[in-house]
Amino acid sequence: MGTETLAFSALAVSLLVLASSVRGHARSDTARLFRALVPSWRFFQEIDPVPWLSFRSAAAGAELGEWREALLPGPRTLASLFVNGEGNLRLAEHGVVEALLAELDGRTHEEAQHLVAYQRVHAMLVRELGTDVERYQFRLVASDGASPDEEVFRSEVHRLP
Amino acid sequence: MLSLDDALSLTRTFAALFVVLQTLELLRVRRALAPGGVFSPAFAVQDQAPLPGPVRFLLLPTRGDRSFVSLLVARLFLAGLLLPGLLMAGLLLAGLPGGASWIEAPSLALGSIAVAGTLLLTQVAVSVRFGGSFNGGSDGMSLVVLLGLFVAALPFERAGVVGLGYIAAQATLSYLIAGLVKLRERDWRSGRALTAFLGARRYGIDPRLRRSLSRPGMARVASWAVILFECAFPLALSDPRAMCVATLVGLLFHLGNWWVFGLNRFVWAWLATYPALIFVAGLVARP
Repeated sequence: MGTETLAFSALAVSLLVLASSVRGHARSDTARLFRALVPSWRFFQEIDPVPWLSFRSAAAGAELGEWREALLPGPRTLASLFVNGEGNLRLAEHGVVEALLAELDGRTHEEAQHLVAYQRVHAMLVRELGTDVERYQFRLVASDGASPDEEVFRSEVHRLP
Repeated sequence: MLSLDDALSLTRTFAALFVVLQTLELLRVRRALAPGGVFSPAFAVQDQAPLPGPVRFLLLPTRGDRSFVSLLVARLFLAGLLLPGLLMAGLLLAGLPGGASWIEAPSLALGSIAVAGTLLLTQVAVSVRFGGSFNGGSDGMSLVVLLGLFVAALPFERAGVVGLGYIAAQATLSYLIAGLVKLRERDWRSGRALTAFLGARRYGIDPRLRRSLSRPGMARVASWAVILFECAFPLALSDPRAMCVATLVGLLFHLGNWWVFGLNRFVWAWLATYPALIFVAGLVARP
């Protein structure tokens, strides 16, 4: 075995140890912001319930309408192989919803509204809501593809300025 | 089979390609970066508040929507300089005489430490701007490739070999670790995990495709095909011809993931690692 092969093997083992030490959720805010520098290479690892964001809204003087799913993906096109800005933004927004679900654990509604992820979800929904909306409410529904969907969080009714 | 210079040139060209494509995507959705957007400057300020002062200072251009867009345009320009290299790479692959020397001149732009370092630092900055990552694993591999190219540009002996070796090591681990993790999970071995992921509404999978892939027998076969490919991938390092086959299968695998799950960035980020893998396989196989 040549010198280069040995060196390559040593490097690979070192990187393997480093990747194995990375867990799914970074422990500190700094580690979370720079987590792309130390990838763990764990994709689609386990079947965890995936939260789905839905919302309902109401115009002035009206009742809240039916629940509608948010962040619906667009169609797959050949162009999306090269540039898929909207699709990848949707996936990033789903990541925000997952972060919110993780941060909601044990928090009251009032505490939840101060979470950055909660405010990001608000920003996402304001974009999806129509111009005549006065009030809205959102909820998170967990689904693992096998068990029935389960509502895990329902926000208070928010009034838009 | 692939010389050091050719491997570096091809890696630089493919890296330039993914930088251009990723940047065009972010510019397309820059409304999300504007005030009131899901990744607005206000959220970036909150995200970065816990960081040490000097780090926050270095990340200042990422905290404004206009400054961040300017940063993206600068990345486009830096990487765009290399796009003619894509044509040159095609000439090399076609075996035309003098192809290697034709590639070398345009690649010098990225060969310089300044360009490689700038692209690397701005790639980190983009990830931080999105709270750590915009697109998960593809962000990680993009950083791996750019870090490898930065190392390859440094002025020390065998820098190119070290840089490509790093890229090849990470690319190999990306398949091996992913495969071992799946092999360890009963739900993956049975096909249930694949069925569950195919059912995730976030990916917008075509219902007919989802139904056909979710049939119990098909799901199990597909799952084991993925597990075996990923776990066996390191074996291809023993021979550059085997690695050529493995990277071709890998490319088809990533194209399949794009078609099913919409994960286009993985195609281009992993493609940029393939010249390094073929080069390292040539080193390992050398008597």
